[in-house]
Parts: sequence; structure tokens; C-alpha cells
Amino acid sequence: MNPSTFKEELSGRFGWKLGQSQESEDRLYLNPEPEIFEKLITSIYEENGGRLATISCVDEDSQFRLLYHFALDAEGFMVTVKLPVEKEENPSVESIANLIPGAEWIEREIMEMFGIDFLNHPAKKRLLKAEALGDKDFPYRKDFDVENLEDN
Amino acid sequence: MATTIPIGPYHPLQEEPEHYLLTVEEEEVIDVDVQIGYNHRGIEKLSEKKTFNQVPFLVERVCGICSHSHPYAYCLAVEDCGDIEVPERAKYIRTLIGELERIHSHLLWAGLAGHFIGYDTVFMWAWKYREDVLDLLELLTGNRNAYAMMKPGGVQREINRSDLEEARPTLETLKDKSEMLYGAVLDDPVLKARLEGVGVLPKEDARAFGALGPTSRASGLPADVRADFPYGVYDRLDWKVITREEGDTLARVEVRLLETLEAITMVEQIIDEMPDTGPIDSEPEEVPPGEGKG
Repeated sequence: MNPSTFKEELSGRFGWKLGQSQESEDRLYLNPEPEIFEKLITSIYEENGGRLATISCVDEDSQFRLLYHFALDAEGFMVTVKLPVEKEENPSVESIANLIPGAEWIEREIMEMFGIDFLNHPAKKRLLKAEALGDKDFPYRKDFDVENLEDN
Repeated sequence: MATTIPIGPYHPLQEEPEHYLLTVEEEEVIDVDVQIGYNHRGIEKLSEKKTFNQVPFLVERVCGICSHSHPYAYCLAVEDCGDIEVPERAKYIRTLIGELERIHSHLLWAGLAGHFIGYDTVFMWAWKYREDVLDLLELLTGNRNAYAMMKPGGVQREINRSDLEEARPTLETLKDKSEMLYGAVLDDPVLKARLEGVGVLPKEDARAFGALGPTSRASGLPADVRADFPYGVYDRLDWKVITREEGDTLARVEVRLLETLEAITMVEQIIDEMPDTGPIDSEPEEVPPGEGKG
């Protein structure tokens, strides 16, 4: 299997809702419709044996974008599912930690660094952020200014 | 009845400040609450304000004893993002340092494993042989730690043929000693009693929690990034992925000791095959915005 045959397999399952995709020799990027997001993740994880490598978050100024990276180790390529998150007062998405326990800590990190709430997350506790930073300080957002941090 | 035991944030057994709240029932740990943020330095945030070729110096300091693997991953990601070619000789040098780092890191881990269970002979042995690897790294890169060899597009410094040849006798000794250590560990009834069947991570859990490296391989998952997503010159070397099915601490020790032996033969192959001349750096000047994997 390679990224393009895998994409065809997923298209068979999800049709047009799989959205636009880009592929290279060892990567496949998907932009699914939000309504099939959870089904798509489940399908890659359970049916295709994808390993959740990590979730990365990008602050794109107008919105956040979460990238769920799955490694298909035996096939030698990666599938990245992109999910835009609107920038509002309390941005939020559904947690996948109940499906893939390995996502729990990754989501906690994103929660405290970017201030994105993961709904139905099993353990919303602080993992990494310094105690000196408040619950409303999100250091990895682009508008967070390191220079103006007070020493305390 | 369950008892809670706090360990940390400062404890002589730990390398860094971490806090564990263990819940134990007699000898068995049934739950743990972990706090790991004491040393969080926000390296990702700091990197945003650096140029692409300044970042390796920062990323090299993510971990105090693995100053090659982190900048290697970073450089691969930048090269993937910018379609940057890496010269052959640089690929050999990168892989060489990477495998030497694996040897010292695995020996360090095995030594600590021995130390933690109160078996300091293993600790003394493993760390004694590890010294030789650190000396080799000093010979080849100039530093025992923080080798500063990586840069996007290649490596920072040459490695001379004469230095490579000088490394051979040390590798021979290391091979003998690692084999001896492997045999001794497997043979020892005390170690077996303390390690066998302890801390079992079943295959399904290893996958669900996203375990990687020797940990996942000791739980029967054959994932190895060097084989699955080959980089450097791994696809040209003769080596095998070590796996064990048991998933206990003994299996994790075994995987690491056997990988040490694999790494030594890989280093020898690299010394045999590495070209003596040729560029070591493609000197990229710009990297477009984007995403890459490393």
C-alpha cells in the first residue's frame, strides 16, 4: 500500500466527505469534513493499524489547526488528518483520548499551551506549564509575548 | 490496603525534577500520578525567533545525554520541508554518530536499571564500557557530549580516515564486553528474579499508548523508524530489528543489550564503507514555510 492507494481505500469508505488531499511518496494529508472526523480517525487507528505518532497544533493567526499524525509503520508512510479550530473565546474540539489513550498527554499539552479545550477529555490536569503562568496564559499562541514576562 | 508514596520532585534516583505519586498495594504499583513540568523550557517557543540554522544548537539541548537524536530529527524535518539534498558523506557521518550515541545511551540505561534494583555490579560494568564510547565520540567529534555535528543540509565537521581507523580497536573491545554483559545479565538468577515478569506492557497497550523504540520492540511491536522510514544510510547497512514478545523489564534490558551489539556492527560497516572525500554540507540558504517530518 502507498499513500495514493490508501487514499482510494478511504474514499471508498467516506466518499466526497474525505475532502481535499495532498500526497507525496511517504505522506498523505487529509482535510475531512468535521462530521466524519471521528469516524475517520477510528478507521485509520483500528482498521489500518495506524499508530498515533503525535498531534501538532499550529497557530495560523486566523484559526488554529490541529494535525493528527498517524504512522503506518509496516507500510512506511504517514497519514496526517488536519482539523481546523475556530479562534473564539474558548476554542474547543472533541477529545480522542477515550479512543486512543496515547492522545491523553498530547491533548493536555495542547490544552495548556494553546488554550484549546478538548471536550470529554478523561483527565484535564496541568501537565507541563509552569506554575507561574496562569490558567489564561497560553505561551505557544503567537500573540503571547515572552519578552514581557515578569519574573516571579 | 492501598498506600500512597510520593517520590520527588527532587530525589537521588532521578536525573531531573519529576514528581510521582504512587499508589501501591503491597509490592504492586496500581496507579501513578505524574508531574513532569518542572524543567519545561519552552524550546518550541524559543525556536520561533531563531533562523532555521540556529535552531539545532537549541534543540541539541533538549536532552543532556542525547545531543544527536533531537537535532537529527529537526534537520530531517527542515530538509523534508525544503527539499534539501544531503551529501553522501554527511549521511554516513550522521548515522555513525547516531549509532555511537545509541551505544552509550543503551549502556547508560542498562547501568541505571541495575542501579535501581540495587545491583551495582551491572551499573559499574555498563558505565565503565560506556566511558570508552564517550572517548570515541570525543575523538571523532571533539566532544564527549553535545557533539554539535548536525546542521540542516549536512554536518558541521569532517571526520578523518585516521580517526575512524583509530576507533576500530575500541569497537572490538566493546563488542566483547557487551557480549559478556548480555550473557552475564541473562545468566544471573538475582537479576532474573527482579526483572522477569515485572512491569509488563502488553502489546495492545504499547500500541494504544503510542510506545516507541526499545520499549515497543520489547512488547512485540516491530516498529523501528530506522527500518520503517529509512534515513541516513540505514537502508544500506546490514542489521536487524530486535524484538521480544514478553513486554517485561527483562525483555527491555535484552532488547537494549542486543541493539548495542547491532549498533557496534553498524558502526564498523560505516567505517568500512564511508567515502573519504566529498562534500559534507549542501549549504542551504533558505527554507520555505511549510511542514516536514523528521
